[in-house]
Amino acid sequence: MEESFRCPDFRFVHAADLHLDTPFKGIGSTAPSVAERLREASLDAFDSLVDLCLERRAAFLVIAGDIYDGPERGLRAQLRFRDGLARLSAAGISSLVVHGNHDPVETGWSALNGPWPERVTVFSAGTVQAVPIEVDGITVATVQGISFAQRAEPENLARRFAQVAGPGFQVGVLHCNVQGAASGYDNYSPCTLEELQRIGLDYWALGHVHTAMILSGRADGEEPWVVYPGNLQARSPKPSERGPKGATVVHVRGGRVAGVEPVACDVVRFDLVQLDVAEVADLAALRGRLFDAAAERLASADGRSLVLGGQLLGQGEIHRDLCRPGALPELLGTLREDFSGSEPFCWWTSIDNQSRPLIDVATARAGADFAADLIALADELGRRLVSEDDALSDLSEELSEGLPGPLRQQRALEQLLESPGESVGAFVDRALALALGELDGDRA
Amino acid sequence: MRISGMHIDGFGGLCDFRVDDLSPGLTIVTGPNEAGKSTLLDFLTAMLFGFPSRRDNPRFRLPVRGGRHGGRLTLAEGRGGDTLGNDRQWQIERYASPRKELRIRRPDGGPGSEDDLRRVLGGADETLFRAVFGIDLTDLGNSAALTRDDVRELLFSASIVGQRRSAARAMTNLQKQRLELARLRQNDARANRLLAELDEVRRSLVEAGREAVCFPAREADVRHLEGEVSQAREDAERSDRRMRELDLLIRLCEVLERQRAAEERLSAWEKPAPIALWLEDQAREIQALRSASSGHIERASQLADLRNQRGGIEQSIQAALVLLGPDWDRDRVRSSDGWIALVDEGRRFRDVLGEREADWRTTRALAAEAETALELARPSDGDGLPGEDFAPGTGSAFEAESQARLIGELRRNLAEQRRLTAEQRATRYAADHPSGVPGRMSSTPIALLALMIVGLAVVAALAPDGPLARVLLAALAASAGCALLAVAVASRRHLARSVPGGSGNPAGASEQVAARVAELASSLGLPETPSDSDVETAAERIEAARSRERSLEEDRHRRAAAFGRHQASSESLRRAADGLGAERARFAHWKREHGLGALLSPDGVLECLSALRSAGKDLSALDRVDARIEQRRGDIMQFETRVARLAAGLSEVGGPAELLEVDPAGTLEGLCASLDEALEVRATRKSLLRTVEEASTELERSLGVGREALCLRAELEAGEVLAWNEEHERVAHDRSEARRRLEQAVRAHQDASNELRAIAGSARVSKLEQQRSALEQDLDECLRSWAVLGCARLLLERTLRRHEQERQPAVLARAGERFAKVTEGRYNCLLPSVGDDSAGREAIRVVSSSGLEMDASSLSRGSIEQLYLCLRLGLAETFAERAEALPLILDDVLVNFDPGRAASIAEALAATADRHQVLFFTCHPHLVQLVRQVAPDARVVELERI
Repeated sequence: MEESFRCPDFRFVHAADLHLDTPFKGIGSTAPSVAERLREASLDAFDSLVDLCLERRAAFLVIAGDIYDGPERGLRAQLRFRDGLARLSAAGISSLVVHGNHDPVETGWSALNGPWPERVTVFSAGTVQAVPIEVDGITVATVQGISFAQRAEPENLARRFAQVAGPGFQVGVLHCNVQGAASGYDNYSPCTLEELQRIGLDYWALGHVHTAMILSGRADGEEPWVVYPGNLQARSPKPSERGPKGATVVHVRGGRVAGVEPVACDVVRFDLVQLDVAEVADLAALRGRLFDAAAERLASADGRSLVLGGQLLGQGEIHRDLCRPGALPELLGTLREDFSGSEPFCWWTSIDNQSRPLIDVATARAGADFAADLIALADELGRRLVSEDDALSDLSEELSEGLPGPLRQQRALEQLLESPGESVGAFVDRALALALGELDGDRA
Repeated sequence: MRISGMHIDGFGGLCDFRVDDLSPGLTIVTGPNEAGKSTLLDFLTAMLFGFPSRRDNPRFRLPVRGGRHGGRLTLAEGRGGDTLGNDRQWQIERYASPRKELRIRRPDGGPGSEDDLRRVLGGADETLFRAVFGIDLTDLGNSAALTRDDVRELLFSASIVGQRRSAARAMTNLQKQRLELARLRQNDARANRLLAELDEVRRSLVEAGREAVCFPAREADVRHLEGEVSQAREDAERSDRRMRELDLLIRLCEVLERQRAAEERLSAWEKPAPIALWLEDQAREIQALRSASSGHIERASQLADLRNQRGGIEQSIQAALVLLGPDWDRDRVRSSDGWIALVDEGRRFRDVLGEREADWRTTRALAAEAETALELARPSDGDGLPGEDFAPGTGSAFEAESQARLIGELRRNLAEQRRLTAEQRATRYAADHPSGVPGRMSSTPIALLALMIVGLAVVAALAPDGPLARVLLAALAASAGCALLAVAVASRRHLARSVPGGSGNPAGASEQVAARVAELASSLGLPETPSDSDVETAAERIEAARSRERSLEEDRHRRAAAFGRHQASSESLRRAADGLGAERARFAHWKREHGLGALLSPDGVLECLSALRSAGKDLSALDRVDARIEQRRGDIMQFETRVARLAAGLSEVGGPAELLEVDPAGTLEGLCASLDEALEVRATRKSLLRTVEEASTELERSLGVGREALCLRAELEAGEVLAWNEEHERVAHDRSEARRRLEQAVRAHQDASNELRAIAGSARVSKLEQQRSALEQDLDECLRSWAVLGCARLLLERTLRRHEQERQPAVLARAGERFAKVTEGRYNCLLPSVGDDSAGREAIRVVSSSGLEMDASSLSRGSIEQLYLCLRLGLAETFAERAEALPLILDDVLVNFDPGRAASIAEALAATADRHQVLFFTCHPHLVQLVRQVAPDARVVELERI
């Protein structure tokens, strides 16, 4: 920046991963009223984002990719998105948008025949564009950005960015996977933090990682700022989707970032209630404990509705009751009834029973009876599944016996057995616990 | 575990059968056929595991010799090595009827459960027990019992973590849960249902996605349809506009023609004649006179009538005046307006005079009657003329009355004198005869008589005989005596009272009375001491005098009354005559005062007054008639004047004025007709003028102003009506077509817009995406559960298989070793079958000493039985190692063995009896001996034939 230029103070809003009109993942069937609220959640969150820009009198809004959830790009989402940007445009707020791996430029379709509203810039793929942002006739910032052409973008697009000549704050908008920032994300447009820091921009508005994080930047002078704002609205019970979700308000004073302020825009939050069943006497007590936990979470959700998952851990007498066919669905039903009609709502998606029977597995393993053999066999299976390449597919094939063909085609058990949320070892442990529980069932 | 004792209450042929203190080792139970050995095996099985559920099961064995169906069994934990007798004893009491009953008593004395019993039995069930431990000759050669899955599973998987839970059952449960999740051919499983729903949602999603993708095209369609609507609307409006013009031209064409026709007629219009103008000018007068002509005629007729009426009234008036007299003329009649009061007075006079005359006549008649009565009352001797003294009570009458009073007083004094005289005589007699007064019974004799009677009564009472008669007689006599005594006393008292002057002076009184008698007699002219006859004679005379005096008095009274009435009637007659005269004088005066004839009677007066009233009325009527005649005459004259004036005007314009005077009504009628014609002509012209004006206004208003109006005006002037009509039809068709196109376009546009809005606002895709996601999640969960269940089952299955594989060889080795010994080395090894699992479980292979491997089924019967007996002993030992050493009960299993092999088996049994209790049943004594040779300590229990 030139010495003579005095950049006026301003603020802008950074959002990413809107996934508008996305179907929520991993929550199964819900009550109709809950389903309706969930359908509207991402769109309502976007409306909240627009309101946030208007309330904060933002100079501009940057959206770092994944506006839509997939190439089918829901019509409602497109129209709602256009209308929201039109509101900002009418208020004199510029919007700068890049596409990410979920809505790459060359795929999907557009329901919008006409041009975008004024002050809306949708960055193209292939070339980094630079758009100056003026406030009261003064260029306060230059925003660069580039969209994904295809879903799987292997190129490090960050390398295409460069500091541009001219006055004002410089922002780079990019959908990318910064190495080491977070796990579990597709490595699209991979780059490193150092690369981003070297380019010389003042602020990197990133998208792709759904967990909000500041990779670089401090108010005391560390620059540049490299920020993932997280997604706007959580969309599944995964750990990265839990907690508040929203956008980041970036305050710029004297041409430098004075601070970043995460602001929740979400409508529905996801959370997980983990409970050790060791001291839970019976199902009624379990229900009470889960209800209390849910009420506590709901009270601290800033008035948002909650989608809760339950996870039962530990060993206890109640394991046998939980293994009884129909016990878990019944428990789930009663928990849902407990919050029926509450506003904001609280919906239990599932109860993951990872509890174990009271059998002392270590002692049983050391014995010489059937149980010892069973445990030894399970240990052996677990080891093989981890060590042998074909073991998992063999087991999946064996377990698929008896499944109707369409069900086999629907989802390979192999994928299910090694899902991100559960390791193969945990799967075998669960099977062993179930088998031991069945053998233990007659004792009563 | 061993059986230490039993008591059969009733079971098959056994009744109240008891065996105690069974040893832990080998026991021989011997007896002939039908002694109950097989029954005993079934009894032990039933006591350990329950009675067969079906009564027709041969092992049910209903009691045939009485007793309750069931019994009691004593089990001892361990093998009885405790010399102190501390074996833990279990009591099992089980009955099948009349209701199933089971009582288990634990060694500590507490009640036990079937689970406890099952645990004591090492988890074995009846199938396992009868397959391995409790066998008879029939079971011995049957390998199927040993190869059943549940038997094998129990044999090899028993004692799992100490809970005795069946691995097979666990696998079954797991598989059942899996099948609820997914099945090959049943769509009611959860995963099947979810997949079907998912497929349906996916199909709907594709369709909905297709709709959404069409949004831009639909939007373009809507815009295109908007253009079509505009074009169609423009065409329709153009047609409408031309239609309106043509309608206007056609309509105005008629207006224009009307205007032109009116103008044409007006142009040919002639000026009206003077008489028409005069008629229009005099229209109101002519019409008024025509209206009044009928009234005029009527008034003339009325005038004649009135005149006739007036003549009649005049005659009536003249007649009344004649009746009233010459003093009356019309003016007086008119002025006498008080005739009504006169009539009233006349009527009053008539009434009063009538009354007065009637009174007078009545009074006169009464006076004549009184005169007659007076004449009749007058005495014949001429006495008693008017003025006679009619005062009552003449001197003779008074005297007669006085004498009558004297004679009465004389009679009373004479009577008094006689009484006084009698009293004086009596007094004197009493003074002379103190015992009594003469003429009366003395009281003394009566008293004496009474005393006498009383005395007689006392005597009679005291008489000695006839006591009753005496008493009665005495009582009667006493009563009579007492009565007489009472009469005497009373008589005495009366006598004392009846003497006059008893207390005064009777002589003086008599003298006074005598003096009065003398005085009265003197007054009456009688002797001083008159006799009664004198007195009576004097009395009669005095009475006659009194009667005559009374008759005279009555006559005087009648005359006085007649005279009084005569006097009164005469007075009344005079007053009536005076009243009548006075009234007549007033009547005459009244008539004179009112000019009425002096000779007129009251009725005549009233008649005159009536005539007066009639004349008055006639005069009033005459005045009214005269007034009406005058009015009619004025009206007629006014009409005639107006007609004359009209005739003068008519004559000036050359009209028939003379006719008007001659026949005003008819002429007026004619004039009115002419007037109507003139007025109609005038109205026609006015109408034509108005038509022209209205048409002009209509044309201006309809056509408007401006260039288009001028063009239309020109077109209208051209008057191509035919062409217009033709064009009208053509344009109407075009307009209809344009409207139809417009409606279609509007409808299509609306439909497209609605559809576009619906697509834009539809959450269907989102909803379906959500459903798909949810279903996929549910399906994943379902499949994950399927996998976990499957994995659990797999672990159990593999563990069970490994157990079989690892432990079965040990059993076979042990059995093979024993079988080699029994067969003296002929067969030295047993092997499991090779091939698939099922085949392996079905058969045992035998290796002969020569190394030949053969299927066990190829052995002889005896060898097979020996093989399976060895196998069972091996299995029992294996079960004992991991569960419990259960008793072996063998029912005549050695009968098909040759002596050598039988001895070998007996040794094997004796060896087995070291760990297991062995109950060896046989009916063959040589087998008893054989077994006892190898087991000398074996106890022998002998059964007798039932």
